[in-house]
Amino acid sequence: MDDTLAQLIDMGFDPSVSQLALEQTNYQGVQQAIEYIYGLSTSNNLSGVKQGSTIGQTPPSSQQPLQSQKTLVDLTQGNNNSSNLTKTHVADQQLTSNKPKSQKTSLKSSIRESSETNSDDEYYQDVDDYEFDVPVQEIFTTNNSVIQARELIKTALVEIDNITNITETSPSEATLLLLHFQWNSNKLLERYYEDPDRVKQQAGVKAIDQYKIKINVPGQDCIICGDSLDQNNGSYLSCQHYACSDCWDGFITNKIKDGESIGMTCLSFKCTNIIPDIFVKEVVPKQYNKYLERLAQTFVDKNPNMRWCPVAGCGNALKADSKAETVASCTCGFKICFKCNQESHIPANCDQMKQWKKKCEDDSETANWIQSNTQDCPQCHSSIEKNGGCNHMTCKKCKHEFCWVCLGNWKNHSKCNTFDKDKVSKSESKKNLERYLFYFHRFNIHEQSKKFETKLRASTLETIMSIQNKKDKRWIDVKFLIQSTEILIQCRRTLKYTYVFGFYLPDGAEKNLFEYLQNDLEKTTEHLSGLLEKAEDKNIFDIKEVTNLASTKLRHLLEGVEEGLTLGGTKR
Amino acid sequence: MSAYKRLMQEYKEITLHPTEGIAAGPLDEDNLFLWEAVIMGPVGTDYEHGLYIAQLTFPTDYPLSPPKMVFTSEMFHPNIYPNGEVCISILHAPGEDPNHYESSLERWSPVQSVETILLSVLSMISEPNLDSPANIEAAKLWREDKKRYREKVRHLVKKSLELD
Repeated sequence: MDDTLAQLIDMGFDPSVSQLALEQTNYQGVQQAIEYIYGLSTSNNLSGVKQGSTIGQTPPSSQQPLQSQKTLVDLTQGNNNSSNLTKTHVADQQLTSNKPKSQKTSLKSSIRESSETNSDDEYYQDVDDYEFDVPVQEIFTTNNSVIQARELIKTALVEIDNITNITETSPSEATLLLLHFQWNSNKLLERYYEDPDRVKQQAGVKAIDQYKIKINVPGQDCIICGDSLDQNNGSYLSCQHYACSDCWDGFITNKIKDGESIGMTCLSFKCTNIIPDIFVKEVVPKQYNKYLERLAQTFVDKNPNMRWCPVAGCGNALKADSKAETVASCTCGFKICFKCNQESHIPANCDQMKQWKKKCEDDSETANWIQSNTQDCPQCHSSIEKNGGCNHMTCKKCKHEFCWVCLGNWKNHSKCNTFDKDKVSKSESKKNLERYLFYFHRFNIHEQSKKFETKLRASTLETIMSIQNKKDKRWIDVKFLIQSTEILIQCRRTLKYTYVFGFYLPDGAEKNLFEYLQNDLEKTTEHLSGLLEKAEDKNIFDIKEVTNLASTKLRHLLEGVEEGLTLGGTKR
Repeated sequence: MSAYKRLMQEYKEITLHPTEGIAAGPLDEDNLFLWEAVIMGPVGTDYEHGLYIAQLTFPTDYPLSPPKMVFTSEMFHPNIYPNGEVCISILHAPGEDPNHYESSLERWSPVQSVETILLSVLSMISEPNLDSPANIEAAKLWREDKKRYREKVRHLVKKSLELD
């Protein structure tokens, strides 16, 4: 009986599915069980399997993802021509009629497994006929807007314009107000209507528009170079510190070079009068663009709802649309955690990441060395480095005498050469270290894989082109490969951080559940990665399926962490 | 506006209308970017009667950027580095703030001149700023052992007058 089960599992069927199939067919044999499994796929009678294989997998809680799937299905239905649909059916039949060959069937069974969780009957009716043409799921879209680097200035100016119109102030005044309220226009308007004058005063707005540029100031000399100002060359702000246009030019240019922008003050000593942007525009037109760039920079820097994309050379800014938003994605594909400004690290939280980082900085280097060069004293557990050839060790700290080879007590020490299976005892600190290294190793491996897979982004387009050219496919048939790559990277990033989360997750039922989901996602991710690396015409259906599978598993894991795992265990 | 023109003007002004206690001018009239200044120890302080010589090096974009001032005579003062460099807020460009305590308003502005710098240094000598000492030993002595501080400074006064 166990043999038949093992055989089925070897063929690639999910253990729980196999077990159920055997039970249902009264253990008649492998063939019957397989037929039963395939029978399931056509009859849609999945309720039994569902119980067996969805341990811990939370069915999608909201209707949202299902609905969006449905609309996507409808869309593809509308777009696909009939020949395309027939093609998929042929593929379907070929698969079912063949004897199970490990990869494809494992794929199929796991797909079934994943789709079981979508128990929505209506949904099943819809997709049943197009089982192999399910569109790639759109998952985990973040609620943030991305402001392209080249649009930044424009966006900042629009914001200023808005405030100018609403508060009926000049653009220069509006800019200062915005700056004062860290570009939080709601707060600005709220306070402004309470007491406009007070707000203006606080923001440093005073007579900002009373400036003169390039006029005749008879009888006055430039306070900087001493030139007389009767050549239509005198400029000054409301504080009436007269200087010639050339001196203003040099002064402002210098300030802009130093990184200053809006809020720079008059050139006179201890004068707090702020130079309005129009003054800058007219006095140093050549530098004005740079001034605006700096202004846009403060627009992002000072705005608590905005972050720079940390990818080198990207330059885009991300804006969270609500305060609750913790993850934001850039159009370059990078996802950041809004709270700590690092790469998005779900399911681990910011505190865990902080601890983890510190641990990595502190431990990795030394830990490796300690592990390879020292052993712990069996009595007091201090790490001991051997400095001579003799294996009779005496611990400096607790004076315990022991054998370096077997770590046994030196007195009545014998049989050091006999392997004792039960006596592989390790000290607590070493165990801890090994535990850490275990997690760190896996964290690192996923990071490295992610780096490689990020490069796939570039090659995916080429692959799409070549498939299109060779096989006369339409763009709409192959464009999902882009999404597949994104989902792969997303899975990879999440996997990476699951090891941080796992490291801090106490042992127990939750951890078992978590590791089950993690393992599940890991397998699917590897599968998808393998397929995408050699993406070609032949395997695009596989890719589509595995992509959906991967995104489902990813969602299960994240939802699990979000809803279930946290209840009794870690703080989030 | 050229730095040259402005320095020439300042030179003219400071020679025609000298201020008591300070004197300054280019070391060599062919190079207006390197000046020498002499400061008399402020009356009523431990530095009284001393004559202190310093060099002022002007950047090419003067007065947009401040000059650098270094005492060539030996000095012992909380705000003067042991190498003679003067640490005073008005000689720091607004962008930089090595000590993170200065308000940007007290920093360099192109309206400043050699004369205002030297006057500021004079007042700094009488009233050291102990919040940001450049010479820790001097600051410590000033706070804890005024007597020894005084001795040290009196010794320097004699040295500056070449009486020692």
